[in-house]
Amino acid sequence: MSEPSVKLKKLSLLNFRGARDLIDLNLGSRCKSCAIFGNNAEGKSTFTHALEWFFSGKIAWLRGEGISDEDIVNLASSEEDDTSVNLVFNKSELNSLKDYDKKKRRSGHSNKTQVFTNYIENEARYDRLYLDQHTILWFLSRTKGEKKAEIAKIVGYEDIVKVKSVFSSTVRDLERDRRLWEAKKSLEDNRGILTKEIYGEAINDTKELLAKSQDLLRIFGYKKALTNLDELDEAIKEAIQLLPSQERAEERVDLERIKERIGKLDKKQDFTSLVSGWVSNFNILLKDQETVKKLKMDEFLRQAERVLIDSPEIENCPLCEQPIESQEELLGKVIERYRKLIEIRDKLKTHGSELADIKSELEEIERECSEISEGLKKRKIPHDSEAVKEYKTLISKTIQLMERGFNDRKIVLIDYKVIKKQVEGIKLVLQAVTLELSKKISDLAITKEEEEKQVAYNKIVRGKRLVLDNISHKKVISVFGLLIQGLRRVENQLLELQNHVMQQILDLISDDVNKFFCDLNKKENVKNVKLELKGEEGIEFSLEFYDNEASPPKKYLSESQLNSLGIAFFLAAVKKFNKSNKFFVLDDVLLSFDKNYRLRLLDLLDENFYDYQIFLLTHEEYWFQMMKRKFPNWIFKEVYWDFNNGIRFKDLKFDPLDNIGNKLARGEKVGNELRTYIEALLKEICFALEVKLTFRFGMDNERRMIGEMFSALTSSLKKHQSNIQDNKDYKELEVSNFVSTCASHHNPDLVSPGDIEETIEKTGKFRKLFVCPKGKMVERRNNVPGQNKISCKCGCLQIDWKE
Amino acid sequence: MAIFWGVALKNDILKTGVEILDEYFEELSKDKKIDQDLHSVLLDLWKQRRLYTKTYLMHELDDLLKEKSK
Repeated sequence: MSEPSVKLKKLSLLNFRGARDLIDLNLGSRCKSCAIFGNNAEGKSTFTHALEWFFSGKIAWLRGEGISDEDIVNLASSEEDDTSVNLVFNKSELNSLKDYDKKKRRSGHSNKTQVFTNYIENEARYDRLYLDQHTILWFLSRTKGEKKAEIAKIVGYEDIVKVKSVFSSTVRDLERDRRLWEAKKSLEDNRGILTKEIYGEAINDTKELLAKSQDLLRIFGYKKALTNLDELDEAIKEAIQLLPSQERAEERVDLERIKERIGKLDKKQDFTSLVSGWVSNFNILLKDQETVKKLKMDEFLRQAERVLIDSPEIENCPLCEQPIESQEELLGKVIERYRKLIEIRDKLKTHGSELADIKSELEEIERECSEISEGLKKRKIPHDSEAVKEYKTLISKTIQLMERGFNDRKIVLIDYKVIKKQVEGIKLVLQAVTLELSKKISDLAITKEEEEKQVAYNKIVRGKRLVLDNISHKKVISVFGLLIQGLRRVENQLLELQNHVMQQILDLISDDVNKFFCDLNKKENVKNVKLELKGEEGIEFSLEFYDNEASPPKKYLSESQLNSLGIAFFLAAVKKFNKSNKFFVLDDVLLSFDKNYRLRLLDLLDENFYDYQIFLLTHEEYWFQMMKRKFPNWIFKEVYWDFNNGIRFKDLKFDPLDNIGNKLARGEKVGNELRTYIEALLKEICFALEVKLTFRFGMDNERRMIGEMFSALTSSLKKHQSNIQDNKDYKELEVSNFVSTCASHHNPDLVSPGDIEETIEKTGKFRKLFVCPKGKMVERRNNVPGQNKISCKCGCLQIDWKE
Repeated sequence: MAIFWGVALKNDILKTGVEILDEYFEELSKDKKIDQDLHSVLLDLWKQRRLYTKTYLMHELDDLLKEKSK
C-alpha cells in the first residue's frame, strides 16, 4: 500500500448548492490547510458537499423523498448556467472539472484519462474525506452489523462482505427451492403409498423393486430371476397377456354404472310432490289478484309516505287535489298499504328462489334419464326409448308451465294424472332394464384368480413407477444437499475469513482510535477504547468507563464523548486506510464540545496530522480564533451568503474587535461581547506572561473577571520591572468606565454607546502593547538574549521584563 | 498464515478484499469437503467477477443440479 499524497491546490464552485457566482478556494502551490468560518446557513457545507459530489456523485445529506440529482444546482441560477465543481490537485494529471448537464440530468468529469478514472473509481473510492455531525451520529447509531459493513467498506473488504452475503442468500434460496420441497414431499407420499397399498413397506432401490416384483409375478407363472429393469419390463409385457379381457372389464363397469344410476333415479322418478307443494302455495298467493296488480304501486306509496312526513303542512292531495282531512290518518293508511305490498313482494321472491331449486332438481332427473338412455344404447341393451323420451318431455313441459305462471303472475295448472301415468310407465321400463342389466353383469363377472392377477399386475406397474420416481427424487435431494453443504461451507469460511481480516484491521485501527479518543478526553476515566467483533456478524465499540466495560458506548458516554469517539474513529480511519488522498474535511463536528475539547482537537491534529491538508469548517468564532493562533500558516476564510450572489468570502483580515465595532455601528448591543473579548485577551496575556492568579477548582478557574486579571497583570508587570503598566494605553483601558462597570458586576450593555466605542478603540491600543502586527503574543518564554526583555515569537515586539 | 478448513492464506493485512478472495477461491480446491464441480464453477465465476450477485451463481447451480440429477 503506497503512502497517500494527493492534496488540493484549488477548489472552484459554480452554481453548485449555495455557490452562485464562481467562488475559488485557493490553497496555494503548497496545498495549505484551511479553516472556514461562517454562521449557520452561510454556505460552509457547500464546500464539503462539492468534494462529496466530485468523488462519489452524490451527497449523503441530500437523500430521501422529494430530493433529486438536480438539487445540487444553485436555486438562483438560470437554465443556461453551468453547474460545476473544479478541483486542481498537486498532481496535475488528476485535475478535473465535474459538471452537471441540466437538460440531460447527467454529470461527468472533464478528465477522461485512465489515470484519473483509476484514481476516482479505485484508488480514492473508499478514502475518508469528510466528516460532519450528521455522519458521526449516523455511524454511532448503526447496528453492529451495519458498523461492520461500513468498516468493511472503509478498509476495502466490502468485496468479501458482498460475496459472503451472496453465498448466504444463495444457500437460503436453495434450501427453499420448490424442486427440493416437491421432491421431498413426493418421496414421502410415495413411501406412504408403497407401504399402505403396494408392498407393505417403503422400497428404496431397484434391487428391492426387482425382488418384490418377482414375488408378485409368480401368480402369472413367471419364474425367471429378474436382474434388471429391462427384464422387469419384459415380464410386465408377458403378464398383461394373462389378464382378463379389458373389454369385458370395461363393459361390466359401464353396466354397473348404469344400474347404479337407475337405482338412484328410482327414488326421484315421481316428482309430483316436489311440484305440487309449490304450485299450491303460489296459486293461493295469486288469489288476491288485485293486490298483486298493485305491486307496481309500492314506489308511489313510498314517495307518498316521504311527502307526508317531510311536509306536514300539506293540505290537498298532490295527485287528486282532494283536501286531506287528517294527515296522520292518511299517513297510517299509506304505510299499511305499503307494508302489505312489501309482504307480497317478499313472498313472491321466496317463491322465485324455490322455483329455481325445483327447476334444478327436475333438470337433474332429465339429465340422468338422458345418460341412462345413452348408456343403454351404447351397450345395446333393449329398452323402450320412446317412454323415456316422453318422460323427459313431461319434465320439460312441467318446468315451462311453472315458469310461465310465475313470470306472468298467473295461476299454474298442472295435470297430476298425466304425471302419474307417465311416471308409472317409466318405472316399468326401468325395472325391465334393471333385470336385463343384472343378468348381463353376472355374465361378465371375472373369477377370483383373474381378480388376483389384476391386483398383482396393478401393484407391479404402480410400484415400479413409484420406486423409480423415488430414486429420482432422492437423487435430486442428494444433489441439493451436496450443493447446499458446499455453499454453506464456503459461506462459513468467508465469514471466518472476513472476521479474521477484520480483526486484524480492528487491532490496527483500535490503537489509534484509543489514542485519539483519550487525547480528546484527557480528564475522563475512559480507557482501552477499541473496536471489537461482536457475534458473527457485527462490530461494536467497547471501552472501559471507570474500570467497567461499556459496550455499546452510548450506554455510558455523554453526547460530546460519543461525538469525540466518532471523530477519533474517522481520524484513525483516515490515517490507516486512505490510499490516495492526504486531505480531509471536518465540517462543524464540534456541536457539543466545550472549549477544552476544541483545543485538544487542534492539538491532536497538530501532533498527528501535521503532514495532512486539513479543512476545518466551523460556525464558532471563538474556535476559529483558536485555529488562527494555533496554525498561523493556514489559510483562513470567512463566508457569508445571500440568495442573489450565493457564497462569498469576507475580507480575510478578520478582527473580532472590528467585528464588534461594526455591530455597534449597526446599532446592536455589544457590551457583553466586548467584555468577553477583553476577558479572553487578558487571559491570553496572563497565560503568555505566566501571571499568577489565585488557584480555583474546576470551571471556576476558567471564570476570571476583568478587574481580577488586570490587577494580577499589573502586579506581575511591576514585579518584573516592565515599562508597560505605566503606558498611557495600558492605563486608559484599566481605568475606563467600561472596565469599572464590568468589575462591579453591572451589565456592560447599560454602558453608553459612546463609552463602548471609546473602549473598543482603547482595547485595540492596549492589545498592541502585547500583540505584534503579525498577531503574535509577547511570551515570557521568549527571552531576548542579553537584555532584560521578552518578545513575541517573531521578535518584532519587545517589552521590558526582568526575571 | 491463516487457515480455514484446510485453506491456507498468506498474511493478508495489506491486501484488498479482491486479492484475498482471489487467493481464497484458488486455494478452495484443496478443501476435499467441497464438490470439485462446484469448486470449478465458483472459481470460474469469481475470475469473471460474477459473484457479487446471485444471478450467475444460481444459473450455474441450476445447470449443475440438472447434470448431477440425471
